[in-house]
Amino acid sequence: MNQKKFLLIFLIFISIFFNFAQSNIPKPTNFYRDDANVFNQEHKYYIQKINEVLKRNSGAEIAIYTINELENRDAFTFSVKIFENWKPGLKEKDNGILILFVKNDNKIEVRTGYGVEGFLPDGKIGRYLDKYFIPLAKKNQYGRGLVNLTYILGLEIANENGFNLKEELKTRSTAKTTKNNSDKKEAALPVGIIILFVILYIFPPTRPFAIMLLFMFLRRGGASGSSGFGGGFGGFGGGSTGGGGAGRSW
Amino acid sequence: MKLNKGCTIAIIIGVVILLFAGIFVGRLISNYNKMITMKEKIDNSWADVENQYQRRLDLIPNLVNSVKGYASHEREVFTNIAEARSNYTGSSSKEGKMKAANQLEGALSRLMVIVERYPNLKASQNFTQLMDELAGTENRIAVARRRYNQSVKQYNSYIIQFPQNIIAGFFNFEKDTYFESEENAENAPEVNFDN
Repeated sequence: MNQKKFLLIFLIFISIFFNFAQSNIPKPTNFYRDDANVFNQEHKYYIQKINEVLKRNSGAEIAIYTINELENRDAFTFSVKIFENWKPGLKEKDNGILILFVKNDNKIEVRTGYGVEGFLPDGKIGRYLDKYFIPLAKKNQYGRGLVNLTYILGLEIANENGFNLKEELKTRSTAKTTKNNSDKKEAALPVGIIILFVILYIFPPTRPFAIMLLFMFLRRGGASGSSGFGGGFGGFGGGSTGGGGAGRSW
Repeated sequence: MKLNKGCTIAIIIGVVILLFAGIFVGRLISNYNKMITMKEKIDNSWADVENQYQRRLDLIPNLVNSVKGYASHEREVFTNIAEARSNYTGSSSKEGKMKAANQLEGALSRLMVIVERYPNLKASQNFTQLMDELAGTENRIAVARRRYNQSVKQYNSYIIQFPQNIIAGFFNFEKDTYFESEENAENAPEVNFDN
């Protein structure tokens, strides 16, 4: 009896701990995480397409995180933390970019990975922000502004890596990538069920430990289900930043 | 042939002692190696801080020249910056460089205050670009410093623990210095585009 109680308390603690760890630095659910709700389906589609082309041709990734409030955090420090946690871009090339957008504080921060600094120096990023994002942000067209910015940064990456982003976006069929992805998901499902059965067999759910495992499993399943927007995102590549880039408020 | 009881026990004890000694020596060696790696990491992250300082130094002539075009009479600030700059290049020790860098930071932040008084200067696109480069450099310095301090903290707390402290004492591993910014340098040149 006593042991069961102990296990129950342990279980509660574990779940609290995991929740805290999750709420501290949120995980990306796609190339973007739109907590401020500024993207419509079209915006999301463009951001995803641009990222897919960039990733296929150079491994570069442009992550976007939109939030409502900074909540006493410093925009720059927070953007570095997010970058260190999400790690957009290839590990070997450090060619990731992170855009942090804070809706109610009217702030935007662009962080560049080490490998991007060379062809996208801070001054250039500041200029692009002034030219392609700020005018739209002032008209409250945040989603469009962010797509604009992603596109212009994507063009620079494409230029540096010797491919044509515009052409690639036109020609590459969208059906191919989505099909690949649904295939993978279908294959993953039976494996998951087998694992679940094995776990249930070894630990019948009368034991708290097994219940905990079951919960963890279900949670995982739920989480991956909600992120399954058109596919194409399997986590970022492990890039790092030295804090380069520029920021603006308006 | 049979060994007597006493002899067997002695052999067992001997083997156990040898085993423990082996484990202990093995641990000492691996701890020593870990300290070396940690020290290496500190050196690397310090090199990164220095790189970013160099970047800042390279930016300063451009910055000073463009401000001078509008505010040539603000002599004091320009001499302060030049002084801090030569202090930095002149010092070879880590502590000396930290100090000079803080001094330079203070001088730069005063320059930024002056810039606020010249709206024409602030409006020029050239200057905006320079400001972005400077802000980016300050940001990079902040990141490099934080990483440096983290690696120093790891190392410093590692070498005072047992049994590492014995090895540290034996091989003269000393605590490394943290980077602390000076009071007047707390508000590093902050670029403000609000007004």
